[in-house]
Amino acid sequence: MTSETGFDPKLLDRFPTRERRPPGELEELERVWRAPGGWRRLTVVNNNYVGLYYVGSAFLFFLLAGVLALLMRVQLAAPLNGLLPQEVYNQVFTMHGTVMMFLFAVPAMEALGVLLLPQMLAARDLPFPRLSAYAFWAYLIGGLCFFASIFFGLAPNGGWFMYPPLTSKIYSPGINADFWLLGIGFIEISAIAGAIEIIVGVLKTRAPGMTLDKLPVFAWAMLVFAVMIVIGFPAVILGTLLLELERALDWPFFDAARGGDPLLWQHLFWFFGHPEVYIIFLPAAGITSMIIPTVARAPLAAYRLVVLAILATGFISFGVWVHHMFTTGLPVISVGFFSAASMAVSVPAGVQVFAWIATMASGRVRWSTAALFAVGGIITLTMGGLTGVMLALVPFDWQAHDTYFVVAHLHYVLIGGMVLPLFAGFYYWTPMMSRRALSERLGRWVFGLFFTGMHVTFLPMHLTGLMGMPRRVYTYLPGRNWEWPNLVSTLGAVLIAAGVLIFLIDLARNFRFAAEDNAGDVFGGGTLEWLPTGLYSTRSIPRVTSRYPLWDDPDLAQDVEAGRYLLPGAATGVRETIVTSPLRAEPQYLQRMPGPSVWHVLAAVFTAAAFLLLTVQLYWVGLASGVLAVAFVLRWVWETDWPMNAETAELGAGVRVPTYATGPASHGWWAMVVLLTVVGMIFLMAAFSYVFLWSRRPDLWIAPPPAAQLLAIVAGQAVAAGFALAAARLVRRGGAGRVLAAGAMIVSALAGAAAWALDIGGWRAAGLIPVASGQGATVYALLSLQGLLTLVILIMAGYVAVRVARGLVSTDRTSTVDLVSLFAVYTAAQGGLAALLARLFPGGG
Amino acid sequence: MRAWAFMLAGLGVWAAHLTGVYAIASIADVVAVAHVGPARWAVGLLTLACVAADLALLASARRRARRPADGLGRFTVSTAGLGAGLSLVAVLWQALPAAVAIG
Repeated sequence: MTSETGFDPKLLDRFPTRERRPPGELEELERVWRAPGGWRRLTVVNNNYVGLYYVGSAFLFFLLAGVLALLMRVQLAAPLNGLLPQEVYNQVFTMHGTVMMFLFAVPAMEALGVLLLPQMLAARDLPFPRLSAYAFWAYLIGGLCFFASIFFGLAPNGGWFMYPPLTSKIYSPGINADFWLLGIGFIEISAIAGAIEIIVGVLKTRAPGMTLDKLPVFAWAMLVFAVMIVIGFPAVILGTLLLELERALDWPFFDAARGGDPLLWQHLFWFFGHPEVYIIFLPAAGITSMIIPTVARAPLAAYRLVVLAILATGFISFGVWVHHMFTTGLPVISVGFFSAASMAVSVPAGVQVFAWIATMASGRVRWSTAALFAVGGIITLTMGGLTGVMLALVPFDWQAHDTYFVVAHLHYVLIGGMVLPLFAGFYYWTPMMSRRALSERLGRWVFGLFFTGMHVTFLPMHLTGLMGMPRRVYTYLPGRNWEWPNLVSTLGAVLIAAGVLIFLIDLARNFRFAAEDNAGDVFGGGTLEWLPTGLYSTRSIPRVTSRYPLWDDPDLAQDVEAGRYLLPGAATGVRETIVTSPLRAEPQYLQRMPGPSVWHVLAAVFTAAAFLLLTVQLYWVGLASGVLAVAFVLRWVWETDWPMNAETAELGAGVRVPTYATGPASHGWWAMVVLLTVVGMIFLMAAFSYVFLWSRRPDLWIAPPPAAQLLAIVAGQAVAAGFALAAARLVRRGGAGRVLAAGAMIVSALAGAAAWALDIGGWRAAGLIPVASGQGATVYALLSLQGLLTLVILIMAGYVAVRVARGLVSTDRTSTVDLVSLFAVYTAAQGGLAALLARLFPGGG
Repeated sequence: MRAWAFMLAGLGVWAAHLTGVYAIASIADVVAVAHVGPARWAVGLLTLACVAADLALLASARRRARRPADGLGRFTVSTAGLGAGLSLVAVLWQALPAAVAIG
């Protein structure tokens, strides 16, 4: 058998072992993974708790946004209704869309990932438990404060897509738009934190033997979902920053009079916004791909095609953003390309639908509530997909754009593609975390009311739209034949609400959280999350030999529970998990995991406070909160990368692995690479914005500073990169190597800062100011991004120096220096590229 | 990384094609060429290059499929081959507007 890492795969043949486990081993495992009690429960990091809190919070936002939807439907039930005045309606529909998309849909899927993935992959936990907890707390605090803005009349009112110029300072002078821009920008940081956790978790913490071809489809879907967040979210993060900069400092990114262009916002927003639909859909499709085989009692048909479809969706969904802009006057040929891509993206979705149908056809379906929701989702999604293909046809889109037809389409896709599968998931996985399963009898009512209500609400909207009713109007005149379809839609919404209400009753009656004595595998699932678990996940980590291990090895659960597989205890006396290789899941090393802590909670609280205080224009207090947040983050990471007592540890049956790794083998390296991809995407989008605005008004652009400066800047950045690389080498030498490494990092940071200062000084001397033109705005945006990274490097260089001084860096524990060095090299490269772009393109004035 | 690159190469070709045709269309719009011929030829050449790349990937996947391999090896090869096939169809489909819309 081929090996990926040099690990001998035959060693895994020693499992399951037959010897009796030593007494006290299980008790020690339980002690190590015990969750804190009392108020300290807030500091918990176990995925069982954090995942559940996360799912619960996302569902709370679903309920809140659902109440807003009901208010809208009541308002529109009759013409000239007076329930919601126009301004309130604007806030309500903006918040409904925003909360559903940003505070419910994406977080709910990340939450499910945090909750399910460790069990599904048989890891003790995801590799950065505090990062998951940070993402959760930041999201919850930020989300609740954001939602509360509606009670003060301060909620955003420009639609969930916040198009300028409507949202520019002239037309939206209040702070409502700022709540959206800073609130959502902040919540996206939380989403990216979760995505990093999921990517590294799926690639690096799988059970030994779980090669890529044995990876559960849900894990595949979560992996692609997280990668899509990493690629797509930076566009909207940049967009929100640019719009906020325009509103706060008058930098004209979107002001056509000064060489900006409102279409830039649409490009940035929809480069995120359309993949967002698939970001939401893919994990839900993963849920369906897990449930259908269980309820049909047959393996998923066409596994490879389904995986390919997930991967293809991840790619193609980034090629369709322009179909939201067909009516903006783009070149006809561009519109044609994107129309073609928009139709092509339906093919992978169709592959999955046919795979689910084939799976059901090949087995005997038990019509549980989970099955009903899953099949209901497939039907609804297919209907939404068909209207999506209609909207991909440009002439049809010109007619239906901004009408209720689009509202109907998007709700069919989002409810069929995400909400119904999510409910299926609730019913399916509740026994994994509750003493009792949810009620099948009540569940059928929930499904019946929700599914019927959904179609009663949204099917007539196709007609309403084709009859010409525009979106986002708070009322309409009588006599246009819109009365009846609107009234029917409102009645449907009441049915949905009744279904959700019964679901809440079911939860209250039956959901009793339990990590250990849960109801268990009541549906007969074949994947690892159905193994008996505790707060430590599975007692021992099984060797995986098939896609449905529990179906193929009837003794697996018993052997795992008896500790006959890998890592049956706490080998090093602390929280730990096996880190495996990304392709073949070969054990590489034992990762020490952090336990409960107050620092990441405080970091989340002060990060949220910083953003919210900036929104309400308390700048100095907001800045102070930001400084505190950084301080708490540093305190949190201070406890990572600590020395271990033993260099190797036994996983069982004489199989030993190191307790530390650095470089591409380590989980930290992977996380840093993903983080740098995020930063790189922000830079790429900023570069796109720069070129785009040049193409709009080249006549307003001035000549760049003298070429000699460019050489000096590039040389400065090269020095910064060189010293950062040198630091990573020096730290591996004995003697004074560590001190020299810290010194090299400081020199690197200072060289980068000097190059940046030279760059910004050159532009100021050339007479370019940010408020002057699109060129000024984008050049200073690139410089601001570089300045921020440079500041981070300065802080991190200081952090390295302090760790060296405290003796926490050694020749064989180099991760901290390696990762800071990696970040510094990237920052220098970006600084050089930004200078080259801004000074060489387009060159003359 | 090699396995990942091979598996995703076909979809990468599709992404490169879309980026290319979008760039060509945007540049043609900015320079406001009187004749659409150059843009059409550029799209045609890019499409040919991408089709050739997809065909090469398909051939490579077919060659590797004949070698003995374990489950992961077979999975990698079939994902790469299917991806290249999907990309081939999608690239041709995507190039149609250039052939049809600009007459």
